[in-house]
Amino acid sequence: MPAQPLIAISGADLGYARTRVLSDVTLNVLPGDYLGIVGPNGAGKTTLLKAILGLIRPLAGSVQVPSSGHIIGYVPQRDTLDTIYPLTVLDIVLMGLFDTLAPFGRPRRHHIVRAVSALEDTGIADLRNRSFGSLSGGQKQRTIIARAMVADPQVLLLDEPTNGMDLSGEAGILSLIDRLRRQRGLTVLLVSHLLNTVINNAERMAFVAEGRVETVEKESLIGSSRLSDIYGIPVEITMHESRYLIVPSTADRRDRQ
Amino acid sequence: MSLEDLLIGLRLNVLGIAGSVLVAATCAFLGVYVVLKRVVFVGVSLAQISSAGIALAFLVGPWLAAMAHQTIHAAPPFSAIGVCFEWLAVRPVVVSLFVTFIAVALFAHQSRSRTLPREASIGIGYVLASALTLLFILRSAKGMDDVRELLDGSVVALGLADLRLMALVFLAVAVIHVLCYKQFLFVSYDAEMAASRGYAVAKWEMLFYTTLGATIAVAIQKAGLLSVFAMMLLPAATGLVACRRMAGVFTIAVVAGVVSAAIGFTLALLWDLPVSPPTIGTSAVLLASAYLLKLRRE
Repeated sequence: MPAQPLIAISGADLGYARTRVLSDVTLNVLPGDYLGIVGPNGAGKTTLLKAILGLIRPLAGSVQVPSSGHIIGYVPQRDTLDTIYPLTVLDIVLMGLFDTLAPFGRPRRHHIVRAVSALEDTGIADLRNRSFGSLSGGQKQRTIIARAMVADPQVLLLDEPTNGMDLSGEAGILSLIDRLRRQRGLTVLLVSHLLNTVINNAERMAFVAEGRVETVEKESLIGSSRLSDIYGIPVEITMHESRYLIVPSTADRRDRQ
Repeated sequence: MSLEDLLIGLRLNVLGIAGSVLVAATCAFLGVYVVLKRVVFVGVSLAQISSAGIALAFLVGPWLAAMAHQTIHAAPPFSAIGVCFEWLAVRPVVVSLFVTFIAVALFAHQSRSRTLPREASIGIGYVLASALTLLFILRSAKGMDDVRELLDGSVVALGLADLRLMALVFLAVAVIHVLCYKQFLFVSYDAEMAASRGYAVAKWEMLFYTTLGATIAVAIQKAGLLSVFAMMLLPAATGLVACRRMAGVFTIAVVAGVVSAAIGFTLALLWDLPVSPPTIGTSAVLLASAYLLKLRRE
């Protein structure tokens, strides 16, 4: 019997009051999936993400996410968090437990133990008392991954987690995501505009472009013109030592020069 | 002024000092959020709108009193209306609260709008309120002296009833903020994540701005526009410069506000000045000291 999808989007039109951004979206996310959500800037990745998080309602169709427990651990773009707030790493991770506290309750010892354990999982427990604003990009990302993980979610939804990182920082975060996924049996949704990052880490890809969401198997992209169509420029997809490499075609680059 | 005269002055103005300290402590506490949320100009605009509310009360006060005089002895229900008018005529803070809450609701609605940037509506609110304040004052029976009073405040003339009202409103604000600290913090810091965890962000924001509006409306009538705005900004900045923990920032902000208000009031008595300038000056000195200490630490 096939597994029940954790997230089921069926025939959904997504957007805002007067603007339809995505039409007729159908997307099933199964337990254990590692789905990369990619697309050009402004194509509607954020709209899809907001619909999955329940921040916007579908204009038509349905978006079904089980409401019991903490199904989705959300990791926003780290640059959206204001570093002027005088918060420590531990303060930020504890926010991930705020909705489990009584309405007027404060975090207690066992909440702090959970938060420290989440920080240990992301490898930065020794930074728990450091100011969030003083951390490097990679350390900040690990902090907000720990905040998402502290409530023990089934799905980790990451928005551009490696944006603006150097090579070692990016490798570290992707390896952390992969480790958490294997250790905890997590389902991962990785939203990014970095095609090479997504294609080499996710198992399936969902392209958001031209008002549509299209799920593709990675292998089917080799030799296909689909990426060229989506990005409006010739794109080459090659394999190098079992890794995918996606680059704009050299012919196009010469034309531009 | 001799020390003995100063002590007598302080004893005679104990209600004014208590009022100044209460305003400073509450504004300094809320100011931490105002600075962190980067909505300093919302604070300025709400303060100006509250002033416009008080100016409106000055303008309509005599009319309300006249209407009350005509209707208070009439048959019910007109006599009840007369009682209401009489009550309102001598309580400008109620009109100010009403006007401020309308502004809070409009700002909250506008923050969800995609038509105009938030700064534009805040600016429009500020200039309209400034113009209306002048217009209401000029047309009121009181006159230009009241413009000065609105800016500088009249905390020296604070009565026991005013102090009770202030204490009551500020206590309610403090209780709401102590109980709902984690909600206000989460919604301010990461609204999207908070919304994804089921927090009704718009409602929490509305509650925050309602507490801010109520504090400003009640404080501004006696402490004045300048003091209220300064107490929202300078002590909070002092706290943020001096400390890197939320609890520490709130504590330092409140202490800096209270110390500024107490020293400012004393200096005002000593040098026969309005209360606002020495209070703001003291607060600025505390901020500069915190900044210098931070530089030395680093």
